[in-house]
Amino acid sequence: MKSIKQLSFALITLGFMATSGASYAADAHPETPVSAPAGVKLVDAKQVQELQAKGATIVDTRKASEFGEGSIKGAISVPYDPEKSAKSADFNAAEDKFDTAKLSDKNATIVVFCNSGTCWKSYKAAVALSKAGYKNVNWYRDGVPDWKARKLPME
Amino acid sequence: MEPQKFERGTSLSIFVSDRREDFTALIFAFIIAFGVMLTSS
Amino acid sequence: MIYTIKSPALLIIGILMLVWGGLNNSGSIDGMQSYLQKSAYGDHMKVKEKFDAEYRVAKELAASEGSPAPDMKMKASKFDQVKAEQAKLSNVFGAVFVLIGLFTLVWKPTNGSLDYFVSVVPGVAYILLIAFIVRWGLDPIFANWGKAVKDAGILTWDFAHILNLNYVVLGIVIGMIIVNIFKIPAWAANGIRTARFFLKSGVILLGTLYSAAELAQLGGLSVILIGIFVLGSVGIVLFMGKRMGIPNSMTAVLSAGMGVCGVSATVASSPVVQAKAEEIAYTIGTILIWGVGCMFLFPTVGHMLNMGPVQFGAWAGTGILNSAQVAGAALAFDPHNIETLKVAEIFNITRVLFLPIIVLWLAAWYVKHEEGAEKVNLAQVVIAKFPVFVLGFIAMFALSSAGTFAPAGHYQGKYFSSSEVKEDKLLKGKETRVLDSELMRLREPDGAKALAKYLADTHVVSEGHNVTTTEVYQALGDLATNRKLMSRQQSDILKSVAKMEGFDGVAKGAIENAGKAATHDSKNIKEYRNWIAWLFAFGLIGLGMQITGKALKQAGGAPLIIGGIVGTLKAVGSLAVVLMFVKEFI
Repeated sequence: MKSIKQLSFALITLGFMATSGASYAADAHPETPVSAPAGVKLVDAKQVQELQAKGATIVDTRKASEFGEGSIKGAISVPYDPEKSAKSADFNAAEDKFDTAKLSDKNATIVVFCNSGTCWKSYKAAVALSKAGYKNVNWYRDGVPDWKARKLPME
Repeated sequence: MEPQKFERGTSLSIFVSDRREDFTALIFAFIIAFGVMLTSS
Repeated sequence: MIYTIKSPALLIIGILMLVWGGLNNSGSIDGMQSYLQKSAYGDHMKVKEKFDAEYRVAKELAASEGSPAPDMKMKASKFDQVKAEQAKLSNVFGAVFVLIGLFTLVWKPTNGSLDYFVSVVPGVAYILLIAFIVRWGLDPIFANWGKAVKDAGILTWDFAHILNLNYVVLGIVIGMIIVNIFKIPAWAANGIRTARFFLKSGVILLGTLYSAAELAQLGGLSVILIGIFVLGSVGIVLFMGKRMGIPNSMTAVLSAGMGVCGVSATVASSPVVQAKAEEIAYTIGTILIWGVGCMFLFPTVGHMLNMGPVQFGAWAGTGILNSAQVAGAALAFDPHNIETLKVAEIFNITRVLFLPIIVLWLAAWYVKHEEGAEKVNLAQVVIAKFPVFVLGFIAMFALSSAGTFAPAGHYQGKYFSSSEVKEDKLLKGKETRVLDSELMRLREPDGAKALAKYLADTHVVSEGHNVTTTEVYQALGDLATNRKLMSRQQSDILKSVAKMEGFDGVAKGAIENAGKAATHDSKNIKEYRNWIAWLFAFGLIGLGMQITGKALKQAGGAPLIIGGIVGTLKAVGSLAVVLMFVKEFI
């Protein structure tokens, strides 16, 4: 009798380990793609500066509290929040909220950014804008850490 | 067999009596409490 | 007799611990740890991104100047700290166990104290190893699982959090599994008996976490309300238990669990009434099952009866048995108004503060009913059998309230302090500008009307009265001028107002930041929590190992019946009282 109990316990434990193993085999913090999604241009810090000088709208897609703590000088806050969809290129935008009320002009030059590699907010925002018909979407993938490291103006 | 095995305690505790266990626990806890206080900045 | 049993077990356990320590230090298990220690790893990612950016920029700079790439090192993140802590603990204990393990293998034990104490070590090591696995492995796994299931939408609630599947419950369960499916190894038998000792130590330390200052916020009526229900529940359970012929220890520990609150009350009162391990498990099971039911039922009823936040908070805090479920019910009732959760929490902690009183009562009750029918001098007997460790708990509680370990007025290790806000946490210019413009907007006729309506609709309360628009203006202005929150009351007011429809997002973020800046962690309390967690984990695993299926069956269904009846009485009774006597301000 005891051996049956032990056997079933062993099987359950193995099953448990397998399922939890599967979930941690999957990467907990995936990085965004290194190339821009369709209809979006990948830009770096220098290009962002140039675009800003020409009057582009610089959009911080992080949470409003993060924006308040410090962001690229001249940026506005349009949070991609809450972000509930998966962190992968085939995410389901319907699960998220991205209020583009402040971005009325679909022809304007827009630069979205957030916190670099593992932050998906600016990527998803770029995809959403492109799909909604915004013509001039730029994605500053390296985001705030890069801007800060280069000692460019923050506010 | 049983009584001899646990002559120095009960089947639930290694201490001879509850009271002794309580006092030792008290001392142990206070050492921890003041230890943490003194070693913190 | 000779207690020490020759076995390589202790040595093996020691080696396993050293291996874990080594793996952590070498970084080879970072992948697994990133999953298990999710929040610490989140911090690690932030630090890494910052470092990567700086390093990349530095390399570019160096390349353009033609000089070699700089040698930069990343700062330590919380993740590194967590790994280092785990490594330290397992290495220290591992080394000790390896040494003692080798010793027992070569030593010829002779009758005496040394033999007795050495014989305890293998069992202690056994439980400690399991405690490591439970705290560092099983607890995070279940926590992640619960969140994942909730996020995936399979359930609307986090089952691991609500069913309290933390290291406490998991520890008991593992212990029970070991004793019922496998067998306690002979070499571990003596060490397992230390479980109760460590548990008692943990309970004494528990006193450091509570502070009577929180109680002061409430006012007399709530203390009376809670007092009646706590004492009443305990009394009814004791009465019913005696009538139904259940063992005194079972009755007593059940009454603590049903009357005061949940798992810690049960555990704290168990030594006083010599509760058997299965009785404790039974009580915990009853509380959890009952509590989960309440968690769903209460908010529904609350909405049907159109209860206000203070009313519902008072009801949930009094009627629901377990802290996690009280919070769950409060949030389910009103996800937006922090007032409900705060009131519920305060009622909850008041309930828990009754613990020392209840423990004393149970001690006296138990002694009286166990000693027999003769008219024993109760005072004499109580003094003789006085649970000394309860004195310890009370002493710690008194010291904590006096502010010895952390500023008086702390709650769960966190306290509000405006003066201690760090320089770099003050609000930035951007944030104060936004707050100023929101203030202006809310002063205009349209904004003022909307604000007044919002305050009325959501019953925003502070210090016993409805918050006025003037107070909101004052709070906003003070925050903008001082760049930090000036008082706990203003913090609460602004937190509620920030949730208003149409309130500027950046201003809301600023209020959040200011709130975080003014809330400080007490390092001491954190340390105590850690110690208590380990002592409890250890004690409860050992306890679980004393619960056999046979013993559970012997307990029968009577405790469940009592639990169900008292639980219902409490829920309905407290509802009636709250509806009648608790207005929207206390």
